[in-house]
Amino acid sequence: MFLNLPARHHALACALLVAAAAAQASSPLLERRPALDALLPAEQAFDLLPIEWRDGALRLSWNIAPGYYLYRQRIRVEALAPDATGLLAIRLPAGIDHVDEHFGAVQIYRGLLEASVPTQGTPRAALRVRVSFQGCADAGVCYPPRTVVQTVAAPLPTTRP
Amino acid sequence: MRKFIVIAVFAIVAGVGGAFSYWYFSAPQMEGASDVAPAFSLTTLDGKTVSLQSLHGHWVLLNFWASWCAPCMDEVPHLVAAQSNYAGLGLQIVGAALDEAKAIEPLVRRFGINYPVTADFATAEAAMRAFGNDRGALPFSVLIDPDGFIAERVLGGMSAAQLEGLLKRHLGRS
Repeated sequence: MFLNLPARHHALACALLVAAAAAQASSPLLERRPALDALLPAEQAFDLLPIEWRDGALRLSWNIAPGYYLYRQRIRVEALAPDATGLLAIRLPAGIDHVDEHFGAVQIYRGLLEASVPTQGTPRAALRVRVSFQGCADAGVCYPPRTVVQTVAAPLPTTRP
Repeated sequence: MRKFIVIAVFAIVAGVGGAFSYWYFSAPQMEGASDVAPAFSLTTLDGKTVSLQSLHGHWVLLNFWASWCAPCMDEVPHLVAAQSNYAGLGLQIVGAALDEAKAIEPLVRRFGINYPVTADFATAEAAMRAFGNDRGALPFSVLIDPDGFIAERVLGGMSAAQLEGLLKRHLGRS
């Protein structure tokens, strides 16, 4: 009987649509917001791999997760010990140009980032190196600056035949 | 008849989708956090103490931000406007910066910030985690009602309209 009443079933359909709309409207955070659970922890978003010695320089690599980026100008590397170890300026590849209202023209990195830090001479002991970096997610949030300390074994002495 | 079924199915799917979206985007993101606001005590740039207890009876919007966070700074002008527009309804915004005072002070002047600002990285970070943000991502805002209960938590920057919507929902019109 109900199905034979077009006016009523149209009214019911309208009521269902209103209810659906109300369900949406009652969700205060329904706007597309980054869900906390969906955000990676900083150490996974900006994964700094173990630092290596190669060809007379420290080699640093980051795996930057999709949807995240690092700021070029916020990457720092310094030697903590031994004190006399002289690290030269970090060599970073060209980044992606990024214009920001607050920071101006900057460069960012996505994906795999590889950098090198030449040293003054070859260290004979293990190095303790402090690396700082900072980045954001495309979802519209940023992570605090992160500092990682790693110990890098001294390079093996080269043997001559 | 067929049209009715299509509309009804669409409505049900939309309703279920809405409910799921609400569950996914709001409730789970703060899993494990209490509805009662955890106590906090922060020292402002001018040396005053601002705490949950001292703000009892106000609507408190605790905004975690930093100078290194562009989305945070996008949001600040909206917060300044909201503080002016909603002060009469009992709103008190507090800007808790995960930063150093020397980085924050120029921004306070630049944006004409009209609410208390603190700049103590460790204390602000601990407070933010106590409010359920264990990722440390910014910006992050918590609206606390006059009785000290968490009304809403927002991760990510709010536009002027989103902030207005949040405040209208809880405080009424400015």
